[in-house]
Amino acid sequence: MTFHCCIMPKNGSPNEHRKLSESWHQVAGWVLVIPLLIVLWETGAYLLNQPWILPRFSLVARQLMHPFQDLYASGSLASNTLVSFVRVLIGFLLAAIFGIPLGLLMGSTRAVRGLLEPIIELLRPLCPIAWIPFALAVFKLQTLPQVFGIRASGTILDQVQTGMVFVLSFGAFFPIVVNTLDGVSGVRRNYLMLAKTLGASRRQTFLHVYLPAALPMILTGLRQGIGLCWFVIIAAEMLPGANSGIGYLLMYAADQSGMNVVIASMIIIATIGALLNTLMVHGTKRLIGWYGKEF
Amino acid sequence: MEKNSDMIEPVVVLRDVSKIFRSESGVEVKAIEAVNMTVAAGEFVAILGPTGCGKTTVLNLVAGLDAPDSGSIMVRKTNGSNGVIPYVFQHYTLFPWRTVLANVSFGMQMSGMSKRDCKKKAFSLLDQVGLGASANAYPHELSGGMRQRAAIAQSLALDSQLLVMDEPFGSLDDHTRHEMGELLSEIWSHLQMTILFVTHNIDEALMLADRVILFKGHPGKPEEEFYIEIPRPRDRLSTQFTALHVELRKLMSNECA
Ligand SMILES: Nc1ncnc2c1ncn2[C@@H]1O[C@H](COP(=O)(O)OP(=O)(O)OP(=O)(O)O)[C@@H](O)[C@H]1O
Ligand SMILES: [Mg+2]
Repeated sequence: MTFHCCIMPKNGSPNEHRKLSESWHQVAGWVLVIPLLIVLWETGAYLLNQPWILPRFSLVARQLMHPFQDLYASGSLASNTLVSFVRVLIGFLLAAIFGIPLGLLMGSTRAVRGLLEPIIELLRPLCPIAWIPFALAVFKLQTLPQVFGIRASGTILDQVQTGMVFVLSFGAFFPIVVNTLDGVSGVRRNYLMLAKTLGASRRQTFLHVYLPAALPMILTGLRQGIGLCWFVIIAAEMLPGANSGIGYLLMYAADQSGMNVVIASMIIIATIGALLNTLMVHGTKRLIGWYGKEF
Repeated sequence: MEKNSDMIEPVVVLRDVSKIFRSESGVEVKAIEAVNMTVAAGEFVAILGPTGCGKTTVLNLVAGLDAPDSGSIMVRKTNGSNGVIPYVFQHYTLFPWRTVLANVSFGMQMSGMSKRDCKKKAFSLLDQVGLGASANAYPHELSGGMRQRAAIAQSLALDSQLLVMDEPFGSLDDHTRHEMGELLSEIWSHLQMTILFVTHNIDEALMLADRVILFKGHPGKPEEEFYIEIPRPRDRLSTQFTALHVELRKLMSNECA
């Protein structure tokens, strides 16, 4: 029945057909490629038989099934992940709180942009990890509650060091500022003219034109920012001075040759990173449905 | 052509207006020079001319988007619009992040009108331009003609007596362009507005305007003026219409030669 191929385009539009096969590939990516790699891994590890180098997948999976089990008296996978996540969230939020308004200001006020752009362009290429020794020297091991004079709050915040928040904020700050700035300065002149002929004041133009027009870029900045935070925190927690977090647990487990914990941590880190990105992309889709469909 | 529109109270007066643009490389372009023109209250004036002769420049000056290098521009303030002059462009006439309803409400929102009143008035304006059913659509979901309908409603919301339009139907097909012309004619006579309308389409100018001002040259300036005394509704096939059409066509092509 080879004739079927010729008839097919008549039934569904070519576009529909493409969409269908695209989603089919994606499903196959999940249900075929990933399981296939797992089978290869399991067999390879079984044949190699050196679990301190490559533990079997089933061993790692067992580790992942018991996320609350205490490991090496350093907390569980779950508790350490939570600590890392809270650190990232605080650092990221601070970066957004400072980065978005500053980007808006720089994008709309030429003087501010002129004054600040050189220092931003100079510091931006610096990997945030390079700030860690400096942050440790300045903040020591001080935690966030201690900044406010509370020695121990009895909450997870006692695990959030000021120095780490500083480094994370610094990392996320640049993509947020720069993208917001680009978004604002890239606003079409036509929309500014339209707003003016409709009687918008300077403040109203800012609120009702610059801000919505820049929103897609602001969201891109936020997405890059939180992704970078998640990169940085893992590295930061591997360095001396850290005593908790999923990055710390990963490093500690490696010292104990607990490769199954190492790989379990890696899977958690990757999955959360992917989830954060997906959340940022799909959670904001409805806000900027118009983007790229201008006329 | 001896009629003088200064006799009736003028809404727009340009006296010896010139505008020079400086490009980024420092080259100066004289866009218009010594432009004198007047638009009377209730008049529909079309500015007709080939590309680059300064039509848009004139509108931008009238709308206050740009300042002249010499000469004076007077635009009579009309009640309601607090000095704002609504301007319909050819492209980017709507904010893509706002629904049609929110676009039409924009001007009212800026002037501090309550949300409820905005909505009510926007709906009635959308009905007026035949777009009531698309209130909640986004601009990218509309056809070109529908977008310009929304843009007209958006500018009518300001209750201005004067409306300026720069080739608003320039990217529409003939059929839609004619439809839009009829709609605009209706609105103009119904609301007794003053409209300053730029086009390079002779047919459009003759169908809509009381007076056609032909712009020419670099720098551009008004060269000829025609009072169109064909009674409305106008018939494209009438001898009066076709005769004027031919005359204008000749004048326009002289310019290119
Ligand atoms: N912002 C600007 N900077 C430099 N030159 C400009 C600028 N705006 C217009 N000009 C120049 O001024 C002249 C008149 O331009 P204008 O846009 O008013 O013409 P137009 O009659 O509207 O043309 P079109 O029919 O193509 O829209 C042109 O030579 C143009 O190059
Ligand atoms: Mg123009």
